[in-house]
Amino acid sequence: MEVITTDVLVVGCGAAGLRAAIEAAKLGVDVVVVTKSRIGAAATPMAEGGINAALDPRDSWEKHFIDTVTAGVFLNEQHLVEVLTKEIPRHIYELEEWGVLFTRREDGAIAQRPFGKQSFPRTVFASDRTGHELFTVLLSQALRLGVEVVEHHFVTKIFVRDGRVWGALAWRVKGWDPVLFRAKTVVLASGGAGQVYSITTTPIESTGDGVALALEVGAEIMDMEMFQFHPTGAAWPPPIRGLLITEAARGEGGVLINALGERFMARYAPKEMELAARDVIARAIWRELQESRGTIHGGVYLDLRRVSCDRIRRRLSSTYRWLLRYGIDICREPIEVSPTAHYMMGGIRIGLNGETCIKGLYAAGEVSAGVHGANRVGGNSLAECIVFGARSGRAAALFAKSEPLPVFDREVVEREVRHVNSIEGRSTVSYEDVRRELRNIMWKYVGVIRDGEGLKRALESLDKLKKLMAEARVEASHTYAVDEVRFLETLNMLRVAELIVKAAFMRRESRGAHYRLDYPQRNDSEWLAHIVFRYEGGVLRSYKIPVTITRLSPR
Amino acid sequence: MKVKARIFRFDPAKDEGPWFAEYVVEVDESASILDLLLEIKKKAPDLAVPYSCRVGRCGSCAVVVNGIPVLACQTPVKRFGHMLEISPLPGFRVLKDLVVDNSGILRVGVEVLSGYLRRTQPYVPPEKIPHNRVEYLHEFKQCIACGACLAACPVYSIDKHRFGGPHAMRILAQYAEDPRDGAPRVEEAALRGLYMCLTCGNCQVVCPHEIAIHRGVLALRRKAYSAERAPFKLVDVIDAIEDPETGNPLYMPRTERGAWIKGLRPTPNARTLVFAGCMASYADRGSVRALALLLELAGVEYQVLGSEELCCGMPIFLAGSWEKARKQAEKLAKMLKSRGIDVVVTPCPSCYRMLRKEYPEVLGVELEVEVLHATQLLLDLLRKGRLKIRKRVELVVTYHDPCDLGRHMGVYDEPREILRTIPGVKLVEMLRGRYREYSRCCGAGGDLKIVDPELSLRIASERLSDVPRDAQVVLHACPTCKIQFTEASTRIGTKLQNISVQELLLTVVGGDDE
Repeated sequence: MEVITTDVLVVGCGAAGLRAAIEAAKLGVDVVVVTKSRIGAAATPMAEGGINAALDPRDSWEKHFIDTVTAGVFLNEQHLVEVLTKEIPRHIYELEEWGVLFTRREDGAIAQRPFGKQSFPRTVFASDRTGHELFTVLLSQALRLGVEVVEHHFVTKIFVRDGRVWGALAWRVKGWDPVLFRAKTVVLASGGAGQVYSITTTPIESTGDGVALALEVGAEIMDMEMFQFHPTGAAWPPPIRGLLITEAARGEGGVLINALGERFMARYAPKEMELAARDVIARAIWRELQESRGTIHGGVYLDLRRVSCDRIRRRLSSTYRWLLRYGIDICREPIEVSPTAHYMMGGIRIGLNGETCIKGLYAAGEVSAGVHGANRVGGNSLAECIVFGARSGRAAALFAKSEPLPVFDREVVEREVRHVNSIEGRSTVSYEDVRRELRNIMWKYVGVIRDGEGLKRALESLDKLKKLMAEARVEASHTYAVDEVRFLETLNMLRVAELIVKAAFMRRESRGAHYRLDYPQRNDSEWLAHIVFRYEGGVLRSYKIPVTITRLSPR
Repeated sequence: MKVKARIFRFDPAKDEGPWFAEYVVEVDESASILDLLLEIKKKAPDLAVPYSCRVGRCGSCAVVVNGIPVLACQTPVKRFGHMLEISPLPGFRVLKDLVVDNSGILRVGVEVLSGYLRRTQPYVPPEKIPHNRVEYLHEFKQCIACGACLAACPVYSIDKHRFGGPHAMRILAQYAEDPRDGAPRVEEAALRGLYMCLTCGNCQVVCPHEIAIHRGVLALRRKAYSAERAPFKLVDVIDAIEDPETGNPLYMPRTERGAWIKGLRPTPNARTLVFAGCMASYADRGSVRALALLLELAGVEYQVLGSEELCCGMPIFLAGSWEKARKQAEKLAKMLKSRGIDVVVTPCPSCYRMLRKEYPEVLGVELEVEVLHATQLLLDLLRKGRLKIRKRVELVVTYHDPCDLGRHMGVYDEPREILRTIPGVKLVEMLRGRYREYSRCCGAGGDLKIVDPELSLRIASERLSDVPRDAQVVLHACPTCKIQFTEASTRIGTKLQNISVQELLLTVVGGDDE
C-alpha cells in the first residue's frame, strides 16, 4: 500500500481547501490536498455572483454582521460571523495581491454590487465568474508554495484514535488502490451535499462526503435541516433544469414575473422585492407555482429586458453566452426559473479556528456549519471559505508543528480496506437506482416546503433505500473506478439525507430556509437552538444546543 | 429527437485496443452532448463520461464530436444533427472511454509557464486599475483549462516541443497585459514559440469561452517587436516591404508587380480598383487575372495600381509593428483617395481583412471606400445576371476556407454560393468537420511561412489529409492558401488540383452581352 506522510492533509480542492493549504504551507509545514476529482471540479469555480466585504468607508463590518445574522434568522453562531465580517476585507486585498482581479468602477476602484439582504452594496465580484477567478489564483498560490495536490483520490475514512486524528484512507480512482495518508491534522473542506436533491445547482461531487466522514468519527453535525434553495434555477429547457441563474441577474436589475404578467414579489416582500432573502423568494415562487400562476414548464419569468444589453454582456457575460447556446437571449426574452437546491448551511460544528470536537480535525467552507444560520446571504460563502479556510489552515499547521506524527494502526487500516473491497461484486440492485430514488424523495418531501407527514414518509423511504443499498454491489472496473466512487458517495448521501430529514422533522417551527407547513411560525422560545447529531458508542444521538449570541439579540 | 452515436470505447485493462460502439437514443431537442452521453450511459452503465459542474466552469468534459473539440455540457446535440461520433480529446492518455488525463494543463500553466501574478513593485492596497483594462483581462482569465484549444491547434498538434500552444499563449498574453505584473512575459513568449502561432483563430472557435487568443498573440508580438524580439526573418521582410525597390515580402522587384496586367484592359480612373496584393501579383497571377477577366466579361470597369501597388501591411502587422503597418495603411489610404476609388476588390483575404477590419479597428486608418473580396463581388454579378454561366462542368470539388476570409471576416457563403451556381459541380466539404469556422489553416498564417517555411509546409501537408477522397479539385479563395496547397500536393505526390474559385468560374461563364 502506498503511504503518504504529511503534516496537514486537506480534503477538498475548492476555495476553502486551497486557502487552508496556502495558510498552512506559509507556516512551513508539509501540506497535501486530496480531491476525488480533477482539479477544478468543485463548487468554487461555479460561484458566479461575488464575495461580500465591507470595504467602503460608508459600510462597516457591523452592518455586514447584522445583515448576515438577520438573514440567518439568528441561528448563526455570532462569534463566527464576527470573525467573518471583520476579517474578510483584509483577505480581499490579499487575494488581489496574489493576482485576483476584481471588476472595477469607472474610477478604477474595486466595484461592489448589491445582493439580496444587504444594507449596503458590498459584493465584490469578477464579472460573473468570481469563484473561478478566486479558484485559479488560489490554486496557483498553493502550487507555488509547494502544496501537493493529489487528484482523483477518494477519501473513505478519517482515522481517529482516542479522540485524536492520525490520518485518512483514500482510493486512487485510476486503478482503485488504497493509499494511506498519515497526517498530524486533517482539514475537511469537501463542500456540500446538493446532490441529495434531484434538482440542484451543485457539481456532481457535492455528495456530503465530509459530513459523512466526520459523523462517523464522532464529530458534531448541526443545522442539517437548513438547506438553501436558490430561487432562480433554470426551469427550462430540460438540459439546464436546476442550474443556477446567478443572483447577480437580480442584483443588476432583473425582475420576477409570473404567468399573469405580475411582478409578484410585491405581494411577498414589497420593500425588498427581488432582493429579498433567498428563502423568501424561493417560497414566493413555490407559492406562485402552487397557485397555478407559473409557466407551462413549471417556472416563473426572470426578466432582464429592462437592463441594457451592453451591461448584461459585461456584467453577466458567461450567463448571457451560456443561455444563448440554449437559444435564450436574455437581452430579448425572459428566462423561466424555479427554485433549486443550492447550499448546505448545516454541517460540521466548528469553533473560531475551524476546530471540531476531534483533536486535529478541522473543517472549513460549506462542509462546516454555524456561519450562515438558517439562511445564507449571497456572496457570503466565498467569504466564509477564505476566512475560515485561512483560519483552519493556520490552526492545523500550528497544531501539526507542536505534535509528533501519531503512530498508525495497521489493523484499522486493513479493516477499512476490506470494508471498501466488499462493495464489489454482482447484485440485482443498482446503486444508481438508489441514488436516483433518494434524490427524488428528498426533492419531493424535504424541499422548499416541508410537513411532518411528508418527512415521515421520507424517513421510511430512506430506510428502505438503506436496506436496498446494503444489498447493492458494484462491478469492479479498476482502470477508472468512477462507479466505485459513485457507489460510496451514494452511501454518504444516504447518511446525510437521513440527518437532513431527521433534523427537519425535529424542528417544529419555520425559520429561514426551513419551512414547515404544519408549523409555519418561528418559535424562538423553543427553537433558537441548533439540532446536533453525534455518534456516541455506535449510537446516533441528537440533542439541542443554544445558539452563540455575542452582539445581536434575536428580534 | 433520435440520435445515432458512435462512441469511442477503451478500457485499458480489458481491451486490446480502442473500438467504437453504436447507440441509438432519444434525447430532447435542446439536449447537450453531455445529456446525450448520460442518456447513453443509462444503456451502457460502464461507459466512462467525464463531467462535473454542467455549466462550463470545471473544464472536465471536453470531447471531440465529429472531429470538433467541444465542451460536452455547453454544446447542443442539434449542432451536429442526428449522427455523431464522439471520441476523447486527442493528445492525452485515455484513462477509460472518453476520460483522459488532462488536468496537467493546470499544473503546467502554473509550474512551467509561471501562470501567476509576479509583482515587481510592492503592493499597496487598494489598487486602482482602469476598468476597461480589467475587462480586457477578464476575457483572457475565463480559461477553464479544458484542453479544447490544444486539440484544435494545427501547430501544437504537430510540434508541441517548440510551440507552447494556445494555452501558453493565453497565459502569457494575459500577464503581459496585467499592469501589476512585472515578469518578462514577452521574452518567455518568444522562447515558447510566439512567432510560431498561425493566428488562425481555430482555438477561439472551439473555446467554450471564446477567448480570442490570437488577438492576445498579436498584442504580445507588438510588445516583442518593440523589445526587438521579433525574428530576424521578419525584420528583413519588413525592410523588403518598406524598400521602394521591392515593396513586398517576397523580395521581388517592384517593376514586376504589374506583370499580371499584361493583356488585360483596365480603365484608368475607374471607380473600382482591382487590388492584387503581393501574393497574387508575384506568385499566383492566375487568381487575379481571372478576377479581372470576369469583371471585363461583366462589363465592370476597373483600374489597377500596377507597379505602384503597395503591400497592405499584413506581414508587418503580424510581425508586431503596428506603427509601421499604420504607415503602410496611411500611404495606401492616400493613394486610393487620390485616384478617386469607391470600391476595392481583391482576390486576397489577407488584404481584404487588413483594409476592411484591421485598418479602421486596430490601426485607426479609415478608408473611404468599400472593400470587397473577389468572391463577394463575383457572386453579386452572377446574381444580377451580369455574369452568366454558359457551360456545365462535371467536377467533384472541395473548398478550403481561408482563415482571413472565414474565421476572421465571417465570409463563408459567397464562395460556396458561386460553386453551387455552376451546373455539374458537386461540392463536398472537408473531412472531420474541418470546414467553415472549423477549417484548418494552410500553414501560412501569422507569418509562419516566413519564419519557418518547413513547418508551414508540414502543416499544409497535414491539411491535405482533410480533403475528401472523391474531390478532384480543391477550390481556393486565397492566393497564399492555393500556393501552400499546391506545394504540399507536390511534396506528398498527389494529383490533386488547386485552383481559385474565380479561375473555375472563368471557364464556365460568359458576359451579359454574349
